[in-house]
Amino acid sequence: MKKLYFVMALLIVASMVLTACGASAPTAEDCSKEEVFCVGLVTDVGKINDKSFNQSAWEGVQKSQADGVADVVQFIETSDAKDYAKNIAQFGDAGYDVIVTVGFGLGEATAAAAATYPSVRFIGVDQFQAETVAGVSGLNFPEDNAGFLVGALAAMMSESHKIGAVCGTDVVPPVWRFGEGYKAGAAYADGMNGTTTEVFVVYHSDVGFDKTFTDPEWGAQTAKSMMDQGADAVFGCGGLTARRHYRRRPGWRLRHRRGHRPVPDPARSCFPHALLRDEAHHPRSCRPDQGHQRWFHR
Amino acid sequence: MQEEKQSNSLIKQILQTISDNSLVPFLAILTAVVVGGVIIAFVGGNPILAYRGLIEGSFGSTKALSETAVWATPYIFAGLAVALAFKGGLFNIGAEGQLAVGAVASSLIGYALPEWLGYDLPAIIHLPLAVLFGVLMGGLWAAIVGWLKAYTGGHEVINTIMMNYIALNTTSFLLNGVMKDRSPTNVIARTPLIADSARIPPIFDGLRVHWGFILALLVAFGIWWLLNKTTVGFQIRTVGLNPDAAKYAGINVKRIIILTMALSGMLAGLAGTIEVTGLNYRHELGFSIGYGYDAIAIALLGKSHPLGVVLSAFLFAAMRNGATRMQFLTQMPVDLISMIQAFILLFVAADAIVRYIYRIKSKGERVVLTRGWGG
Amino acid sequence: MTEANIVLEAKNITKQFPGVLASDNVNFDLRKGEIHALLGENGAGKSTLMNLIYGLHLPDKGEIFVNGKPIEIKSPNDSIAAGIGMVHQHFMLIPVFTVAENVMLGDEVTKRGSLDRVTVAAKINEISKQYGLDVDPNALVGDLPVGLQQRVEIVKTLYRNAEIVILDEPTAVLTPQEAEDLFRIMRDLTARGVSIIFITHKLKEVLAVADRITVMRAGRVINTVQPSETNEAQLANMMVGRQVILTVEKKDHAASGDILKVEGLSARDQRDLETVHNVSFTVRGGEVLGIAGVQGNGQTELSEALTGLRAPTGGKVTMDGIDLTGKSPRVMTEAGLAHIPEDRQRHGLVLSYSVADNMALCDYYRPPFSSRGVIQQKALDENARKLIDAFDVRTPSPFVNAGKLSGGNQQKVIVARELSRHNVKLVIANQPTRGLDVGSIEYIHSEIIKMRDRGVAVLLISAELDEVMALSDRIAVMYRGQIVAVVDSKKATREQLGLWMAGAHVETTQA
Repeated sequence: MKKLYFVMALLIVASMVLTACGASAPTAEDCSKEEVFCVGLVTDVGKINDKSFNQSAWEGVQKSQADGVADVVQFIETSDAKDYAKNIAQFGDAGYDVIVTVGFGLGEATAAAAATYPSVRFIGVDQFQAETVAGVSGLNFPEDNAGFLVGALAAMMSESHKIGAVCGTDVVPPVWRFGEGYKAGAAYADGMNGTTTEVFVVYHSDVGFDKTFTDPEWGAQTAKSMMDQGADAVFGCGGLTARRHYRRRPGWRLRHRRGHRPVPDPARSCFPHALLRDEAHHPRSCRPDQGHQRWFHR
Repeated sequence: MQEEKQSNSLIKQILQTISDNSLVPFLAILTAVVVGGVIIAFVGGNPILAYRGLIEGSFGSTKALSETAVWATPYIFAGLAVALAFKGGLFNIGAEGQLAVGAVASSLIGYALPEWLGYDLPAIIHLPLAVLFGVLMGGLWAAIVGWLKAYTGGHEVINTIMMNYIALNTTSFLLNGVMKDRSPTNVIARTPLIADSARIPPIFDGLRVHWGFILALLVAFGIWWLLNKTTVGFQIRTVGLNPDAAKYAGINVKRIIILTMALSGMLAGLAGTIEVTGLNYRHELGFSIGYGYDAIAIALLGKSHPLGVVLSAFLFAAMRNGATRMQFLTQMPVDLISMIQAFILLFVAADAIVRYIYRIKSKGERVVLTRGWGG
Repeated sequence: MTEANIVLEAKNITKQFPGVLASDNVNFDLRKGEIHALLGENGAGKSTLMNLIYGLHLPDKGEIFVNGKPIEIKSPNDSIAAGIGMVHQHFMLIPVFTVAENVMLGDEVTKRGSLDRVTVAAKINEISKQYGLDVDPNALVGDLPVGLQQRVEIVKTLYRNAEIVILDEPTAVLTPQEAEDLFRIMRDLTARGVSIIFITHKLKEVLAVADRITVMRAGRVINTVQPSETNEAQLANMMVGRQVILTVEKKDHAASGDILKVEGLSARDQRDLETVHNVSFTVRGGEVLGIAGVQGNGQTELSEALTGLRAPTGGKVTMDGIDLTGKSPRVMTEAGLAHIPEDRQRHGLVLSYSVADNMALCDYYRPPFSSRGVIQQKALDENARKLIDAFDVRTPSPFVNAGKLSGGNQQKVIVARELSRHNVKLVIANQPTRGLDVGSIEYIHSEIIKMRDRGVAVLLISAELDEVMALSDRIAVMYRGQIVAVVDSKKATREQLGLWMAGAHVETTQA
């Protein structure tokens, strides 16, 4: 028992010392000041490095800092849908100037927060607005165009004339647009070259939102079954779900050498420019096509 | 005088129980926090700042407290569900599914009943109906597993897991289909909003904490009373501790197994129901994911005692809730919180580690939570 | 005998368990080729001492010498290496393995990666022949009778070259005849230089077979004596620490009408084998019917079928004219059955419940213990205090967990609960005194006789022949699931009963 008290005392002392040392730690910049420009980003349920909307948006925010526009940039990953409002409020209360919310799931929470924090500008990535919400700029993308280009490219590159797409749920319009665009693009290429390409598009609509974009095992399985049926190009559209078979499947390279060819990184295909491999390595080119956006209403 | 003495001894008894049972969990938490801090420091973060964020974010303001209570509410109900099953010698892994069933059922009553009837119901009828229906469906869902256990010997661990799949996929089917919110802008698999008359009001204006939280505390007390003061509770505990002796004592073991599962499912259903009626006002696919599994951890950490469940539910709620602030201050990933929770559980489950670190001697009796696979 | 003859010596052994001084400065020695009996009640510290010698526990203080050399025993591996073998009360055998496989278990002989059964079997045959053990290495252990399984355990120790063999309560599972066989084997072993420590609580056996007797009580050695210099009464006094009445005082008592009537009862065990075939008997009010038999001859299933714990597969059971065949335990209890179960920790008690809760285990739902579904703790406590007084249960308070009580007091809790019920017409007591101290045995015997004298019918099932003979008015012998004989206890002899228990043909007419 004596030893126990000793250990406990030691722990308490250690934690007190650490607290004393750590007291000075908080971020130096104060976002509530007029001259400090702060940008915060709230993800949907998912990770910041999802090779999809979250990551692209965050890279954009980081670029704003690199370009000297923003002084402070921060993100919060949402782990449960009921925290949307709280996570946005975290930035709102800290006096951030711009808050980026990623994903249509945050649409309602963003609109509500815009009313609570009228001086903050919100950017809602992939948030469709039936009616204009003051303070919120919704970003929508011509996903069908992107899908179209990928589909055309895949059909042109395919030697087996079988191509596939592994997507998140088609309940989400952008994902559906990717998929349909992909089919249309393949058909277009067929028309040009006189080929007949078989297109497999599979949506992961059989699970809930918690899972549909975060299920790389399913993605890998589905992609594999497509390859087994002869597909030599597979397009991934759907967060982490579409990520696994590109990034982690060891068998992939083997298939590649045997004549399968990759389609450029699907996650990047959110932005049509990124389709070309060279450009994918230059984030600067990942700028939204201004012709299609409502960029900062106010 | 007599009464005063008794209440005194009751308080003493409670304090004694707490100190007897909480030492190891407390040290497990402490150790996990220290280990978590080391990991934060290792990945280049500031552990003190991280923990400050965690505490500020969970207790630092009325809003933070309110959010912690919001998080704690389903945790308490679901934790009680698992704990009650443990007391009856059953391992209910199915709280997740029972919770979803309860949420779907109560949201159905919440939005559709006025439509069916063609007129609005007063809250005093509508709300209890919505809650009751969710609770009953959750109970029924679990009772199936109880029945399978009692009459076919099917193990509840496997069956509750299977029932989770059925529940979650059925939920998905319903929310994408007949129960989907048909408003033109909606693309999400979710139900329409429930009627105002089926909503539990918040306790304070401007804060999300609602009366469901108070209900959770009352239910925790109720479960303690049921288990320790009633013949039903006596039967449940006897079956849980020694089913052979229960049979010998004339207890209908099969019936008690079904009853225990049903009660457990009702509590899990209540967790889902209260989330719908008190917080979200609808059920949406992806809401309440993982609560049923967290509940197992909460029941284990709380040693299946209702008071312990409430306390550990608060701990988990505070960690989940404070995670935002922690992340905001340090940009540490929220996964860290799950990791610390996992460490706490690891140290509680493998209490030998904690006992070894702090040189605590075992008090002899081991708490057996469930019987093995043989049942 | 000189010092050199001492093969094992334990000096000043002390072992403290939480709350119990299990071994208090104990000295013990074993000479080459002798049978040294270690006598004592349950909890006297015999098993602790042997576990210390065998390496299952570590002593706090003291030393152990083998052949005069001090050795450190940290695990059974050390003791086996030192030539010590132990045959536990519960056999450590795997029923689906053959004798040879069991014997080599943990010390497997392999030939090019596979088990070398031939070599092992040859060695077993050799040992078996040398010591007259008569064990077939290729038989499946599960098929062997208990007596033979025990010999397999002995072979196991000899196979590992044990020169010192510890036998822990070896006769508990044997018929008198099998016990005689065991004693013969023990003598053969000692004649060939093996030394034996014989742990028991049975006085008769000690006097019959031991060369020296050491009596332990409460963690201490009371005395070491020669069998020729002592007698049963003296040994009993040393064991218990006071004068003990070895016979049960029993007045003649006229039995009244039939209370329990069993007709053609059959039952199956867990493996779905019929272990009770077509059993019929009656028990009258005011008599004790004892069922004698070696363990595992269907007694367990019989008593379970009679008490509602097991559904009978055939036949009829009536109590006082009411048909109770296949009824639930609750119905039987309410009809007037008091059941003292065979396994008190499995069936009779919830060990983590308080004594008070356990004393209301079967009646919790009835007033005064509950009212409208709410347990009345006060009534429970009052009842417990009353019964603790009336049945002399030694417990610090009614709130202590039953698991903390000694075996004897645990059993008294059950006896108090069952016999105090207001409506008892029939008592079924299965192994009511197994593993108990002499004091508790005396007490429980007297309580059973009291019930009989009050006109209650008593069915006593026991593997202890002495107990059956002491308590019963009539004795039925059970063998392989059948009642092979029923005799008046005054006319019964140990030898005759032993023969019946072993399955000898029944010639005597039934009483």
